[in-house]
Amino acid sequence: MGDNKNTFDAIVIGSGMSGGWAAKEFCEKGLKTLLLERGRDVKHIKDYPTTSMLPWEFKHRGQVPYEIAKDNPVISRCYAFKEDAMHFFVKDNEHPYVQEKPFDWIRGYQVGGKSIMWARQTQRWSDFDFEGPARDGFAVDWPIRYKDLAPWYSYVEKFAGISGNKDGVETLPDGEFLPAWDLTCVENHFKDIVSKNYKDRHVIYARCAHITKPEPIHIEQGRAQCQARNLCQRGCPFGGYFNANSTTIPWAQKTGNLTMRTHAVVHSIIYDEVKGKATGVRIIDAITKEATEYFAPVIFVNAGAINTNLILLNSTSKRFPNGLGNDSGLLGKYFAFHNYRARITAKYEGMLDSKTEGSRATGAYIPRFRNVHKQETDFLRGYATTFNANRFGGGGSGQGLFGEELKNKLMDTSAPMGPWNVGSTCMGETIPKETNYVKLDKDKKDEWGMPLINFSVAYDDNDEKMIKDFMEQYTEMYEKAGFTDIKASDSKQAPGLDIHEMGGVRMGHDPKTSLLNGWHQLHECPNVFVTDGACMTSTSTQNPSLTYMAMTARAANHAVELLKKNEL
Amino acid sequence: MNRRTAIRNVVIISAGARLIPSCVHEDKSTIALKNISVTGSQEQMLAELTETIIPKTKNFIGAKDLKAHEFVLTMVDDCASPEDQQKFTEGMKLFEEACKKKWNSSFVKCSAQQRNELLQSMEKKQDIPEDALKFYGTVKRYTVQSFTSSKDYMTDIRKYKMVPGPNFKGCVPVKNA
Repeated sequence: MGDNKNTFDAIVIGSGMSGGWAAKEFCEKGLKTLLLERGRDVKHIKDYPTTSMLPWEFKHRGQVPYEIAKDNPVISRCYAFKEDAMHFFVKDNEHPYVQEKPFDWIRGYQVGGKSIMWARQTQRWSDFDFEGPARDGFAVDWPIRYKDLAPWYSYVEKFAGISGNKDGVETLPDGEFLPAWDLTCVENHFKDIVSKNYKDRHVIYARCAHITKPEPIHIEQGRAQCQARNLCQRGCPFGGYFNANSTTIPWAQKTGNLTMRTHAVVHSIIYDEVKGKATGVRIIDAITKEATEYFAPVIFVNAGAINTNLILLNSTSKRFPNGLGNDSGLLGKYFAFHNYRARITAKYEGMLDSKTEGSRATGAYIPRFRNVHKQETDFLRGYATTFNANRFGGGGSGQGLFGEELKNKLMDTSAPMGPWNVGSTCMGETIPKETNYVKLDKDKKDEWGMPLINFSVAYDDNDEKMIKDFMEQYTEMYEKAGFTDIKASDSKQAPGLDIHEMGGVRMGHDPKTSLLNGWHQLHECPNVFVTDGACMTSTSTQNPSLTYMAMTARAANHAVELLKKNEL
Repeated sequence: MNRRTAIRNVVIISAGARLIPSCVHEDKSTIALKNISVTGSQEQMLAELTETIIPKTKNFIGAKDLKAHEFVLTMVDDCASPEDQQKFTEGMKLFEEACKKKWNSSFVKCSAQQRNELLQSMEKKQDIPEDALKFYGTVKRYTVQSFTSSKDYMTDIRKYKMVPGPNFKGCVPVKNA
């Protein structure tokens, strides 16, 4: 085995949304923990170079220069890839991958990962989600239920800081909430219309990871009340939203038990044939290309769903020629994502005597209402949706005008406001299938000698039917609310741009049909845990990060128990 | 000045003199551009055009105060495709030609009245080549953006707050104007 300085009590691969939680839990429990990150360090506030820049200080006022957009078509399709946050995203040409079928892989290789730029929506799952595969006969049964995760949802919510209302909606369990911002007049109007017309459809406040009122724990973390700047993707000088950089990682560091190793590209997990378990991790230094090995009795893989698949597939041994824990041959398969293609917008000419004032960091949310209690449509599962209604200042366009006339128009703050603009994005569950998979490319390798990931993931007929249903249902709901100029659209975007990639290392009861058990341990190598998106058996409709956090905290605490009992 | 220095200066001056003529006629723009090339007179024309679009008034700054023409050129140089960059520079020439045709004078030498009348026909799309219209449209769009995203406009007119604070109100009455 390696020398002492390379030996730890726990190794966590990946410092983002879930890895930060694993590191925090281990360090708090007194484990000497090595946190591996393939990118550079990003220290809270200090390494947010654009966080306090004013709009007019950006050379291109936010726009991405042509050359960058042309050279990086995938990342340029991401809504948050703008001049103010470009530096947190992986450029296509820095880390190429293979697309047997088109897949927009959005990545952030740095400490904190994509938790810096995420959309901060945090909705719990319910048993209507966990029981989906078993009831509807797809994928495999989840080995866990809501009750297993519920206390851990509470645990992470209290620490991260989640704003929300107790809505009492059975499809979207309530949590530990900080105060909610207001819904707007028209959001409340829509809520009334929907509840009058559909007994099972609920327009509620979209819960989000923002500190609307700090609790002592948040102050102890050095974080302050969210000021609704809505510039979160730059990193927040107040720590107003949850990211790993402001919250979990500094907390882990404060214990003195954390060793963070940046620029560490994980090559593979080392498997010891004699001991019958994993003993450590082999890394390649991103800069020097030098290989190093680190050792620990427990290894958490939190590299981000796709890179977690990559690492396990690349961890081959005599015992596991097809990848670690992959006797079933299913590693990389049953890969899924969220269907975010469809959107609907409209105007509302009512409530013109009202407007909003100030700023908030969320909107409204409509939990899944299709096929909840029983199958009732010609497609499986359903979709949740966003709902936002806002009203902007008047002034209008300067079309046909120039000179003083144009200037006066631009400077006229008394111009009447326009109508309300409303819109909803469809967030659809997709069905994991064996034919949707990621694999190692046979020939191509990156400059660190890692095989490139090859994607074969696509929409199916179920997704198309769901889009059609969303458009029909929302057109009807919008019409009932008196909205006009209703426009439904399908972006036809490739899978991946939803940035909710999931699966490949799914959980399940049976080693023959799944990779992980109910505690996120590889069935066949139980001291290796996977608690990022790769572990997902099905996708539900909810934004998954909160669930990854809860799963990670639960699994890490279980791992600590097993270590204590010498069972790992 | 001693003789030695005087001779050296003569040498320097004459060496300089050999270089000066090419400089004088080169008519270079003052702003560094990577992809498009713009002459000094074109830059001057652009500055006047942006000022005609958003003029300085008694109470408030105009395009020249913001160096809006530099913003226009930066955006075209960095953010437009090579095809659009080419159309922009060609459109700029056609714009100048349209001005000459109308007033027998360059845009810079036109009176304020003449400039206004030219822009009037641009807005009405009267008898103006398409690429000149496209050029004008691009300049106008970026001039407006330069103005509406400026510190003065955002803070004085739109009361922009980078830190709005936590007190969002979802429904307040619109005050009667």
